[in-house]
Amino acid sequence: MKYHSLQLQPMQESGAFLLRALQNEETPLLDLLVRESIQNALDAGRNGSQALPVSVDFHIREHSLDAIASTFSEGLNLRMLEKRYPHTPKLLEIRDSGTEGLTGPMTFDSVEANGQHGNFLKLAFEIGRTRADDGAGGSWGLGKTCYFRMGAGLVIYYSRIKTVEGYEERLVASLVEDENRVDRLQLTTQTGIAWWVANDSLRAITVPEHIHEILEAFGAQPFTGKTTGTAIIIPLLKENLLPVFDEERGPAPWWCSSYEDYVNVAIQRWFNARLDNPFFASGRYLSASVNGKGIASADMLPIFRVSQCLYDRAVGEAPEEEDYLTARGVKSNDLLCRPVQLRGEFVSGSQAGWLLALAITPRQLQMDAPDNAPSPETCIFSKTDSGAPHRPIMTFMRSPGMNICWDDSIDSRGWAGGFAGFADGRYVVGLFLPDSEQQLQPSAARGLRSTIQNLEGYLRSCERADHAEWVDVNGGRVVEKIRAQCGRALKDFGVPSQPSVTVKPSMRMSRKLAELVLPSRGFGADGRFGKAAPRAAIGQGSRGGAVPTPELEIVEVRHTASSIVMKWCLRWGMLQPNIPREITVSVDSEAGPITFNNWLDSGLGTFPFQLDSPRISSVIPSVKSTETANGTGVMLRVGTAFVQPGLVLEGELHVRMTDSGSKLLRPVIGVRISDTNGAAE
Amino acid sequence: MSTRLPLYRMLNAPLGGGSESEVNYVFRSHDGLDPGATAVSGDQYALGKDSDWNPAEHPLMVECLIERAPLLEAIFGPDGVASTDAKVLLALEWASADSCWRTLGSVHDLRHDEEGGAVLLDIELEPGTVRGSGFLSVQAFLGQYKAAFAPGFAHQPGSRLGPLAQPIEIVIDGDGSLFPVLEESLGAEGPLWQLRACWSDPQDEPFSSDYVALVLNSAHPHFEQLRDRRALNIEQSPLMRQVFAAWLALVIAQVKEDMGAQFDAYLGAPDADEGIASIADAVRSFIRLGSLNTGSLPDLFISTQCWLDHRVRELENAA
Repeated sequence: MKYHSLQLQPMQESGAFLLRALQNEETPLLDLLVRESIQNALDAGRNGSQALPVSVDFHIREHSLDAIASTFSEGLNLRMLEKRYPHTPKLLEIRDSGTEGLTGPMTFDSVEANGQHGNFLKLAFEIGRTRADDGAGGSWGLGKTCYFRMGAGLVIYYSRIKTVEGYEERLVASLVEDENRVDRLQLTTQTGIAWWVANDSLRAITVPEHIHEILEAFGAQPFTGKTTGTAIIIPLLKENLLPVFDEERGPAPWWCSSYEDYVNVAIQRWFNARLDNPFFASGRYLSASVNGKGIASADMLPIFRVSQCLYDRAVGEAPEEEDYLTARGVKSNDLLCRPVQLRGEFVSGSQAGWLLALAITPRQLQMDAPDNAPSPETCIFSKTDSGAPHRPIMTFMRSPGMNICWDDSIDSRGWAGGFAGFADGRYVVGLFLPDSEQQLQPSAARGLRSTIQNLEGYLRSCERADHAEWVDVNGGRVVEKIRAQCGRALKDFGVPSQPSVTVKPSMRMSRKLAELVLPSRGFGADGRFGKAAPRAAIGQGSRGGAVPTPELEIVEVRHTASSIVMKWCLRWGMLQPNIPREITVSVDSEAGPITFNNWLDSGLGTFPFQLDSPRISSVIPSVKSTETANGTGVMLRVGTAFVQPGLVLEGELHVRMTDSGSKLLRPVIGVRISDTNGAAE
Repeated sequence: MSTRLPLYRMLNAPLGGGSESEVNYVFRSHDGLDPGATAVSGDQYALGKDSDWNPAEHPLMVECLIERAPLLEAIFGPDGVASTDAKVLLALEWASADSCWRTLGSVHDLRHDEEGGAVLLDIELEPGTVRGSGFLSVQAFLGQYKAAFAPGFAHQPGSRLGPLAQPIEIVIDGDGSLFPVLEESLGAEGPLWQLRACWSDPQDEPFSSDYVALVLNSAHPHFEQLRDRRALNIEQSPLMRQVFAAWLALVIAQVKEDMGAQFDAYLGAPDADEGIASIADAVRSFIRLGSLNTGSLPDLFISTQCWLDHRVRELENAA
């Protein structure tokens, strides 16, 4: 392969920098690798058939130094290679299939302005480029730097993709090493960064025969048939990748003695919700294997089976009566299932997601004979069980289904709200699953986008390159509120507060002390100063004559033997000023006024009221009043010349009751803009 | 828009409009407890001034005294609503949308030829039945009617004749500050007081006894010494002042610890003027009003005590 060393340029990263870029020194490297590689595979499998799983296979095997020497002879210091690797080294191959593979342009020259760089360029040649969609697992494009930390820094990328013409295979290798190391592998380098490619133009090898030859040297198989996918081969693995276990406090768990076993448990640790789980709700489920041995849901360590059940119960698709929790006899009062509600953060509704937690005995976790399963603390944190009370363990995830972290803090502001665990030795495990689609209120002031952003996108922006934590962006308090709510719920779950019947507020003391140290209003709901101070007064429109629609006011009412005499005042209104106004009478009822026509249509007999003897007392000339034909309306007309804003008419009108029954019915007087303009004339 | 026309003559609050009050209200509760009613504006009464009255725990009894002469004039006079041979029923009516109910108090039969002093009406509202605000009005109804039908007069027994005076509004809940103090039996061996802090987010949760409280142990031998019986309305006992100072300092310290680095920024931020004041708002208010020194716990205790003593002296001088 053709060696291409990266020259030093302004703003140029160096190998030493890239090896530190992830800034996560506390998580074991194999965990970082599992998280990063499976996340990439799941992202690459987003568009495939939803019924099929995304397959990720890990292979760990020995390889010969000759394979390195023959493939990468150009550019490498072979003597140094032999010196650094006196024993047969191991490689790690991560193959995802059923995924789109490393697609996109092969060279930067073929990227159009503002065009997509594609998976290939991003993974093999770029740092810090990421997927733009909110639902993707990755967010920083820095995760892949963990590949370089697994061994000497050499990584081979092999992929088979579907093209318009058929299938295409691509292979490229890169090396990132600390350029300052005296025992570095490259002969001469300024940056520590290099690629092995097909030719001088930094193109990947695409000739299948050449690719298969290289794969064979490393014992890897090409993708064939209709299979597309990506294989990442990391040769020259370090020998100290297993986390150190404090043997003084007990024997190390079984997975801490081989890379294969450790990777197996790491997959369970971070992807239990998605692993072999057809009920996974937000994408294709994950099928994973290590050295050809698949990991079935039922083979997972008990704590991870519990965690998968919590996920399934949060989603609510899987039948509960058949799940692991039911099988282990977990009762419903050992289970906490509660929506997490945030005030004032979302466009609609307040639900941020679900909190599920349970209290479970060591026996239910199969920790006694004959299973002797390791404790949750050992499985999750690879540390010796601390003894009762066990700290509650909380985890949370976004839609890709990777556990962001496992948190056993007992800080009062932590996920467990300061609950220290049950003294009787039960373990507490909790999961928070956000409602991804929930839309946040736009607010630049709170550090949020000024456009609508969903909760999934916000939480993604709260993750650092290692995705190991959620930290609110400056000004935002969504994560803080979620954590506080979960904390309180878990604390209540662990230590239910006993409502006291003897409690009573001391009102006078409450009022007196408030007067001593608080502003008189605003810190309570006491009524001693009257009603709450009004908010900013809403400007009331002037109630003068210039109203938009006509308004009728009854000024005075007199009763005579068979009629009600009323004095009225009409504000003409600005709307359609040249159309006559009509004063109407209808009958009051529980369902609203019954008009003349409705009365007749309902077959109720003679309409009980009639309007008569209209009299205009205003001194406006050319006002005419006419009674309508059925006697339930009086039409008022004003000459066009006299219609002006603020016109007010006054007059008198009799409401005659037509029979004795009307003494119990109540007339309703109204006004409207006439719809029979001039029809009577 | 439409207007219902009355079928007969009705009252439209003829009494109480002038400067001389013809209608007077008295507020009471059980066991001599004064609900602490004050007229905050013409027709609005607020409850709770200098009082232990608690709407959840104590009933509210209202009496209304109406001068007889203007009353008879309004009902049976030339512009009245009933003829002189009618019997008119009077009652106080409580109507509150916030409390979701309305009711009538005891009924007084009024006749034109009846003699005596002022007419007394009353109504009792049970504990736990009133909240928000509500209206109290004097309502007249037609009782009996003997004469033949006369135009303009109601003739169906039970007809509403309308309100005699403008309704008064009684405010039970407002936005008046309350300090969250609870009395609870923690046993004779228990502490005299404790801080109950069950907030999860001091910036989000209101300053109310659901989330934060000063709990006084009613079973403690020194409990009675927390109240100064000699000067009930103004002073707490010196012991109570010490308890209070310690509690305040403790709450401030706890909120400061909880908020971590945000605390200083929050203190400098302007007051939020919307929504219910939070625990953090209350703490900020204490610190500002008392110029409290939060630099260290000992300094906080000192400045809190000095502030309280100063405030008590201020209130005593003002009284």
